[in-house]
This record gives sequence, C-alpha cells and structure tokens, in this order.
Amino acid sequence: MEWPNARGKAAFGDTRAIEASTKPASDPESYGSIWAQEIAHNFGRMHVSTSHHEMPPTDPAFPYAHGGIAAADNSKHAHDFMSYGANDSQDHTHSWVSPFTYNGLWSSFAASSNVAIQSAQAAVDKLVIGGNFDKNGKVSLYPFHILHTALTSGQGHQWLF
Amino acid sequence: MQDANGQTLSTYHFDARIDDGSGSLVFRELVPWKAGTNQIILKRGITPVAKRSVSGSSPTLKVLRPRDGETWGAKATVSWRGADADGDALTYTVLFNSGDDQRWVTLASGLTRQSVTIDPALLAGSQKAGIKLRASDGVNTTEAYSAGAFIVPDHPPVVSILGAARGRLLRRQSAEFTGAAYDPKYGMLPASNLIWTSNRDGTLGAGGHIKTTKPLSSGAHVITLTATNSRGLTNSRSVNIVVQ
Repeated sequence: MEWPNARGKAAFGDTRAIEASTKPASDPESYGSIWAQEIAHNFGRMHVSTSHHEMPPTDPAFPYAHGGIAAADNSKHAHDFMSYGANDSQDHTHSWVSPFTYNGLWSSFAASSNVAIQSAQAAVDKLVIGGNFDKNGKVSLYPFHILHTALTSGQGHQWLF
Repeated sequence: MQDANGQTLSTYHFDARIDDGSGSLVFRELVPWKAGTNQIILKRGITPVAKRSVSGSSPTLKVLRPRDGETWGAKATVSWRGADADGDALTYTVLFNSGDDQRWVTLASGLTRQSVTIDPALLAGSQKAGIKLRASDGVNTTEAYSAGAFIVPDHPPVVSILGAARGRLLRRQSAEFTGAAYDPKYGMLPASNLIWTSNRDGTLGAGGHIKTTKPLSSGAHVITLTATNSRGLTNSRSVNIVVQ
C-alpha cells in the first residue's frame, strides 16, 4: 500500500521509507528527511513547490518560492522537507522546515489530540475498512480487520491503521 | 452490514476524500462492528460497488519466534503459523512492545508470508520485549502473542549531520555546523550530548548547532559529530569539508 503524497508509507521493519525510492538506514540524513515527509503526509501535508518535479497535488498556499523555508533568492536557500529539494553544490540544502509546514503540522497534532480526547470513551470492537476508487470508479478493497479501540475515524490517527 | 438473512444491521456513511495524486480516492474508516454481520456492502450513493462476505471461521495463529529469552541481534526474525479453516487468504500485522508501557508499535503490515526480518536498530532496548501478531482473513481477526519475553539490546544513537555536504567549502572565520542524534530509548538527545570535533583542530563545541569560536585551519577537515546517550552508548558521523 503506497500512497504518494496523500498517504505516506514509512515502513520500519523493512527499513524503508517509500515515495520514489528505497533509502538505507545507513544514510540517516536522506532516510530521516524522507521519513519526515511520509509521516507529514499522514498528517495531511501536501508537497510544496513544483520546482523539483514534486508529485502533485502540491499545496497552493505554500508561500515561498522553490520549496524554500523563507523568502530567499533562488540561488541559495534551504528546502522545506515537504519539497524534493536536496543538497547540491549551489548551497541548496534539504531537511529543514518552513513556518508554513511547522504550523500546519502543529495544527494537525492539536486536532488529532482533540479527537483522541473526545474519543477516549468506551473501547468497542470496530471494523477497520479501507480501499480506493481508481479514476474510473473501480473499487479495490484492502483486507479489513477488527480492532478493539475507543478511537474513531478522523484525521490525525490514520497512522494507526 | 447485513446479517445472513440480508437484513441491515447498521449503516455507516463516509467520504472517500483523499486524492493520492493518481486520480484515485482512498478511504480508511473505523466502523463500529456488529456481531452477526454476514456481509459488508459498500455503496457509492445508493449503488452497490463492492461487497465482502464474512466467513464462518476466524484464523488460527501461533507465534513461533521470537522465543522466550531470545536475544535479538543486528537482524531478527519474527515467524508464525497462521491458517484459516475457510481457506481465506490471510494478511498479517506485526507489532512490538518494549515492556515499559502499553504501546504497540507496528513493525510491518500487509504481510502475506509467515515470517519477516526486522532491523531492531531503532527499537528501544528491552529485557522484556513482546511481539503481537494480528491475522485477518479479510474481516475476522485473530491476535497472538510471543511466549514470555525476549531481549532487545540497547542501541547507540543514530547521528546525522545536516546541511554539510561532502567536500563543501566553508569560510574559516564563520564555520557553522548543524546535527542531531536520535536515541531509540531516549528520543532526541540534548545539545550537551552532542560533541563536534575536527581531525585538525580538535573539539569545536557541543550542541545541535554550533558556530566555531576561533578560525579553523585552512584546508581539508574531517568533521565528526559524536553523540552519547545516558547509558554511555556512543555513535558518530563524519563529513569531509574544505576550509578556505
């Protein structure tokens, strides 16, 4: 199950974080930044910028050019980790976070905390269902399973599945 | 959800609203389960578009490894035996618990084979770790636990130097370095546990972000960030730079 952008997959047991390629654990900088991006996708963050062939959809509200973390000239800037911008010889770096992404994630965490508090009632058996409609409307169902939990559906704890 | 007589037991509405970039819509929902459900019908609007039958038997499941008292090394194997009397295909999820709390961390999911190799480098060390296996036949779910407890050795922190690319030129008067270290047991390590050194100029400072207080020697350097956790386990990462 791989969902570029809308749903990140960061698979721990197989030592990989998936979007475009597999990164080994021995390369923690790339490894960490990809994990961060995949996890942020799970909290609703889209790619920012289209300057590095980022997979759409990209966030139209992102305020900075070239996936940077602040207003800067194009020749030298740090990339937000939700872009594909990487280290290069022109002083571009990656693995940083813009105020836009930071605040967006913070809001998601706060929202998910509220959901968790509201749903911390009685744990009951729930069926975890999942699937997708392709662009032609065809449905594919994932395996379902039954979980004894107090959580309810909602943004912020989709990672539980 | 319908029972064996086709009577509706419950109805649940949701939106498939997540676009994955390929034009498809993904959905993931937690639906209150109704005992006696025989069939789950998915409708788009009022039109049935998919259904899943609930078979009569739940999977059987037994965790074979890890065994009680086993110590995990650089790689570890979790294996199990699962079966389904109805002949349904089974998928498995592997979860880990350190024994220090009630949290179960998913290590792998969507597995169809009956073993998986785990890299424990980022798992918290534990003398009382446990594994939970979950098997699903598509709906019916069975969980099983590893017998007793197994041992995960403490691991050193994972160290990363950020933004300093190999061979990068730095000005000797204003060199800055940024890095971080994550410890599987203690999380992000504090600044005081991070020490920067140069193979030419010795210790440069401590912290996640440092500015050198005196000019670096001109020429090639190997810059090393060494992190130490509260149990004294250390790890380091180096980068080659050139100071001009």
